[in-house]
Amino acid sequence: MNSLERIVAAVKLEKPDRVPVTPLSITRSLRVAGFTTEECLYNPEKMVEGKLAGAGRFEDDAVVAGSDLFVEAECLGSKVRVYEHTPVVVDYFIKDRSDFKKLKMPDPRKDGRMPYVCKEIELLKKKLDNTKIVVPVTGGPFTTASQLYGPEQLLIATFEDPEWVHKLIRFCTDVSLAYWEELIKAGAHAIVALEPFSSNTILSPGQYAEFTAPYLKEMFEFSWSKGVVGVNHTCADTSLIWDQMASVGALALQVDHPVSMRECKEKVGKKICISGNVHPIDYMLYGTPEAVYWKSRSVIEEAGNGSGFVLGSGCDLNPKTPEANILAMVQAAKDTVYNDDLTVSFIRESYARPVDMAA
Amino acid sequence: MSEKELLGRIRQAIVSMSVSETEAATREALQAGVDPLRIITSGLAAGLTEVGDMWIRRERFISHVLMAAKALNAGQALVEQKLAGKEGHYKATVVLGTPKGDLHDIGKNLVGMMMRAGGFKVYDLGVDVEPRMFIDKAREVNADLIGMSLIMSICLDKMEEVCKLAKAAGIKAKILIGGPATSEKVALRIGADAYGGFDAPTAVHAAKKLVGLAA
Repeated sequence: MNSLERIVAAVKLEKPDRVPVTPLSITRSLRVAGFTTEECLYNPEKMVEGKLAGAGRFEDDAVVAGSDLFVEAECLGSKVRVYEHTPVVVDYFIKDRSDFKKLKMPDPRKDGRMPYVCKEIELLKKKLDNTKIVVPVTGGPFTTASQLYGPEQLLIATFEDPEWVHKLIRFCTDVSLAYWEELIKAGAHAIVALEPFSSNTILSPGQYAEFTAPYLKEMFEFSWSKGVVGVNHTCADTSLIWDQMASVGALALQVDHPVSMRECKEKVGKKICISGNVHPIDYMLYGTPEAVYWKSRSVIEEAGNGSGFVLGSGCDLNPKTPEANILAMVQAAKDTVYNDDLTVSFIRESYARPVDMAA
Repeated sequence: MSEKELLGRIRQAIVSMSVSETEAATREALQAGVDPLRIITSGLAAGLTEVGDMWIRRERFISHVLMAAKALNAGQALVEQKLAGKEGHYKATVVLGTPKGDLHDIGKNLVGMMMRAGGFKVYDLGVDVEPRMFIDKAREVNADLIGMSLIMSICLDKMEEVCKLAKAAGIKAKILIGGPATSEKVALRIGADAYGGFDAPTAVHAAKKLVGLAA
């Protein structure tokens, strides 16, 4: 089985040869080629060279296109700066709710970084020839709205002027749909909607139902109508909204480190593929390879049985994450095999178990 | 209405996140002659603390806390006109900010508001703060605590730099870190004195423990 087939099997809840793995080494991959994020953002050829260098070194199962969730907001007029190697919005386009009328529908073939991400996908697809899944990351509609108006302002507006908020998210959804159409034309196998501002750390489950779920549903139904898998990624605590996250048409959920993978598997992981959730800092950045390996094994034990599981980190890796730790995570997946009854067995112990991680 | 009822009405207005009701209740209490400082501590701040407790129990979420904080600010603006420079009694002093490179301020702002509600004098340096500035400000105001919040793990180096500078400078302020890019392990690793968790009420409790205001 190649990486693409392995992930497809997991997403379809069928039998992969082993546990698939994607450490979310998005900008970290670029470091393998010695590139900074800055020099790749507007240079798809270099971006592809960096991503492929990472894929070659780490031998994980997915290549993530793009680098961040601000592409849509930037296209709409919010100012993005690369800060400490990570793009961030430094100036929100909407200062006053009346600025809504100044928003203009972008052309994803020409405006901002959208064409660069599309080009990256085209080049990756050519090079990888369907051996690995190519999956771009995008901003979900609520998150894009938060990056246009400012998260604090938007959250307050959900109480003060919900109609206006819906109008804004409706517009962001239309922008995303236009962008996703181009990503799909470029050849994306799957698309991730990143919704860090929709976790139940920030929104109540009722607000998620009102301001996030209907719009995401539209996105995921659109991508699936074109045969492209939607991935619903939400950072922080999502345990109160798993049912909703699993019901908006995405075929996979990515969950972050604060939640229990065992509970997630119990609650929704038997009907939808789930991915996670090794701590990106405590383990991936600061842990030893042995600790990463054994933590990864314990996550596999929590959520691997029954297929529908992709081992990963809870969130995007820090660019300084040690290579040895990423390799240890990938090795944990390589040390598994799926049995016919879809249970997972380990075929070897590639790293010694740390004394403080007793069985 | 008794003072107790007036203060209860203010607390309830904060819990129900109503700016107009908070203003009306605060005005009524002021007209009835309730001590402005009591309006803040036993009315407005107590209401926000109640919302914080509900947040911990996952009955309220950051969106609600922000809205409640907006109501609190509206009430406080009315009270401050009456206070006219009269300083409250602060139990401890804290310097807050997000380290250089991190521009996310919701968590830090909420911690600041809840610390104020909890009796801290808060100096908020804002976002994207140079490590040296934390130390300089802490020394200037003789702070008991430096609080830093972090979303972007790439900025952990800057947080660590603040810890190192604080030790080298020999200031008395203890260092509290919190936010999604931090953890107990991070605190140990970079030399912070405590980890304040993922949410503002937990951070305020950790802050109180660090400065000896809570067990």
